[in-house]
Amino acid sequence: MACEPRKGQSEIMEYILMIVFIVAAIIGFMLFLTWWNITQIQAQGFKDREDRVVALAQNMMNDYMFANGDSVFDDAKLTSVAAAGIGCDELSLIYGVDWYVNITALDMPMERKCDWNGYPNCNYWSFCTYQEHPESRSAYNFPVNVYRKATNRMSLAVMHVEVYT
Amino acid sequence: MIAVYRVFQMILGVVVSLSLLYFLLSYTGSYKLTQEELQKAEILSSFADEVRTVYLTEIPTNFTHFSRYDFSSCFVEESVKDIPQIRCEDSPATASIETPVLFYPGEFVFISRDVLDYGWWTFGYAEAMPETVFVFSPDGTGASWDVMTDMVRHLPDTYGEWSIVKVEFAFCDGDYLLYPCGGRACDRGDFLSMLGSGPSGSLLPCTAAVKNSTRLVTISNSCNPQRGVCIMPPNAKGVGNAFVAGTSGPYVYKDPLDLVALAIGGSGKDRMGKTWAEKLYVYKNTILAERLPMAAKIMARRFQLIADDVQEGPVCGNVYIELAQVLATIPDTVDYDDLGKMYDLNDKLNEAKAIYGSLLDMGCERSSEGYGM
Repeated sequence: MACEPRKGQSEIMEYILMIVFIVAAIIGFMLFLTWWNITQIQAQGFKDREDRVVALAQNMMNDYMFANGDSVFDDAKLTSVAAAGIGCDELSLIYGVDWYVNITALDMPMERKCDWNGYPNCNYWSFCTYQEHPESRSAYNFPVNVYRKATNRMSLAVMHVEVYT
Repeated sequence: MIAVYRVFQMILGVVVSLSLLYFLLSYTGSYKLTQEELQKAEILSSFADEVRTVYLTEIPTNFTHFSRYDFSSCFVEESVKDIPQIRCEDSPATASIETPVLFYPGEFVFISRDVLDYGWWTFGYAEAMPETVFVFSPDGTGASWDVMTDMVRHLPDTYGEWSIVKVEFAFCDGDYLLYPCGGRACDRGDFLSMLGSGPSGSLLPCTAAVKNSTRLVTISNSCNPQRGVCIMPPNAKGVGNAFVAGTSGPYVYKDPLDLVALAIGGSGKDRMGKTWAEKLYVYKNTILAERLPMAAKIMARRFQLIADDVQEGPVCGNVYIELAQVLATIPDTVDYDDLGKMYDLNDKLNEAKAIYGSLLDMGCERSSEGYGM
């Protein structure tokens, strides 16, 4: 007769252990799902940043404020952006925030920054601010064409695009 | 007799099972909602990508993913510091959309590209709209025909079998809708050909019943619309007033895109009681007001910069300087509700376009095909 309470106690213990195990399994599964979702979102964020670099380059190449159509940059337009006092705040309304672009025409042996006084004997333009140590960055180089208005010629150039977070 | 521990076991079992069930159901519910919102955000992001692709390639397309959830309250909202966002009133899902787009939601939308050509600068934008029939009720004058022609030229062309979304055109005459293309609404090309032949008699004011997918556009010298949009033909400066049913004030228009924005939006209202016409009109003018003065400043500097360096000589140089001076007078901020300022702005834009045309004629500026290599 003394066996009955002990048997009952051990069955309850088994029962509670089983419940604890099931609850732990469910919580583990939920944590896994949450971790999986967060990982997916982080991966998507990285992909979005990569996509944004390409989109930024495509948009600038096709914007008549910088280019003449058919993805050809115009050196006089590129030089005039800074000369007109258009800074990163204004450009962020069109292209968003946290990016940096520079374009180097490969028709001169050295890099010469283009400004009002240096035009047309220059081959380097930059837009927005280069960040030394951002939290993360995605960057690409694209081969592009720059139309040299003064000489009526086309130059090969490299467009460097960076996007930060 | 049931032992005490059995009773305890049963009660504990019921309590734990119910708790687990409740917990699992609520977790599943919130998980489903989260996944739905993530998918909505993904669809909005895909839409933004698709709009950009159409804008860059000039190849129109159909976008069908909006049929998966309810996107009827989604719209593009401009921002003061960043690029615009597409968002929905009943969902936290958003996506950045840098391409200017006149968007009216629907399950299936047709996306196409168009431009406003100022000569010295081109404002490119996309249009995204569901199946729509634009029903015109003109007053029969040549001016109203010109307004229709200007508008239709800037609306999508869905001609052909490939597009599952159709944007079509018809007339309204009193109690009847007139489908002039063999008893059917016309596509853009046929309708423009018909408009090209000029007014063919006057039509009665529209009293016919129209569907939700129809946009009624009345063109008349006297406007008090009970339905749709009513446009008063422009004055000699190309500026005029348009009215939207259910709103008080006139909307000043100075280019066909203003009218297209009002017509695509129509007099239907969102949950806040704002008409879609007003939303699209404000969005379009906010975007244009950001870019037009910026483009004018850059181009004014460009024309000054190259005036001395062009190979074509001083004749081109003088015209470049003249154009730079006109562009330099375009104001930084534009008040679209002010008729007087719109007259002034349109005068300057027309003058700049004419001067740029003369630069092209003289060979000082070249089209993209004319670059030397």
